[in-house]
Amino acid sequence: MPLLSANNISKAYLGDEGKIQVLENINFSLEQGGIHALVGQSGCGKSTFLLICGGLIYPDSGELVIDSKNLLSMNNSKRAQMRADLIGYVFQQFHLIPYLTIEQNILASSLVTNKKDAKKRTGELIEKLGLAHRTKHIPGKLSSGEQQRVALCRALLNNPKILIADEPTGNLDGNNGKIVLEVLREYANNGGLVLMATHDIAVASLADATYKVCKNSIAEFKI
Amino acid sequence: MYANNVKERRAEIAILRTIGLSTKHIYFLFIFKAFLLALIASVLGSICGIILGVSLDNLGYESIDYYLQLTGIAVLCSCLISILASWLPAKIAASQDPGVILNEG
Repeated sequence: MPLLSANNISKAYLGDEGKIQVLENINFSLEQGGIHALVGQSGCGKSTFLLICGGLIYPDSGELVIDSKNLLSMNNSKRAQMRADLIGYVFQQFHLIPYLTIEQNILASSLVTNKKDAKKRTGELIEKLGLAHRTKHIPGKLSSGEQQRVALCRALLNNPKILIADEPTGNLDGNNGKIVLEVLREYANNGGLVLMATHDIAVASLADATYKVCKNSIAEFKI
Repeated sequence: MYANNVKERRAEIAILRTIGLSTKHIYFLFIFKAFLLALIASVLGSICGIILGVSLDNLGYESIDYYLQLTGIAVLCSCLISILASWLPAKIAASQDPGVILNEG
């Protein structure tokens, strides 16, 4: 049974020039494990699809089943709990809370899950991603690469089954991009499912499978 | 003030929801903060007012009467108004899809 299954997903936005249909009757499913890259031209709906998979926006129609549970039929509280338990999300713009220290930003992920070893695991992740000297700093004092590594720590803290990453290396230099991709690979090798969007073919080529996103299909293709 | 605070912190609310906080958690955080600020401000304000009144009285100015019961009511009203003023904007921000807010940049 697939870990993530999106069935007949459609989504349109209302723009100045009327309704823009971004996704139409998309069907897509993934089993557990591996890195899966979505590619496609700007505006093709990659980010929208990832936001829907993460339960961060509602599609106009369709069904999203994660770990045998229909995310879209849940109430707000259950959906939030499911996000906390199952899904980690990494954004291109990092989206860290500016006045919290690095350690607090990462630990914020454990506010809902209340795992007893959260603090210990935070320390381990900080160490692993080379941020030990930055623990008490706020995000504004960090480089882009360091901020993305913090966002990655936050996403991984609760050991999610799915890690969704929207252009995770989009704002990073080559070296920092490599570090992020290595962490994603290690997570996938340990059974995690990575679903990422990228416009960088070099990054996509490191994935186990690549998919081209169009308005009405997400189809696998070989690079 | 709180309405403005919540508006400015929409992105923060969206981030908190992304990492799994429910709208109930968000309400609690913002309303608790508003309550705490109002409580501290009104208690400090009352204490300062009483000290000023007593000082002026001692300096020979017209005496100012103060009533502890009225001070308590003022503190309570201040807390209630703050809670109400923070609840509605928090509700509006928390009811939007977090992805929509974060996509605004």
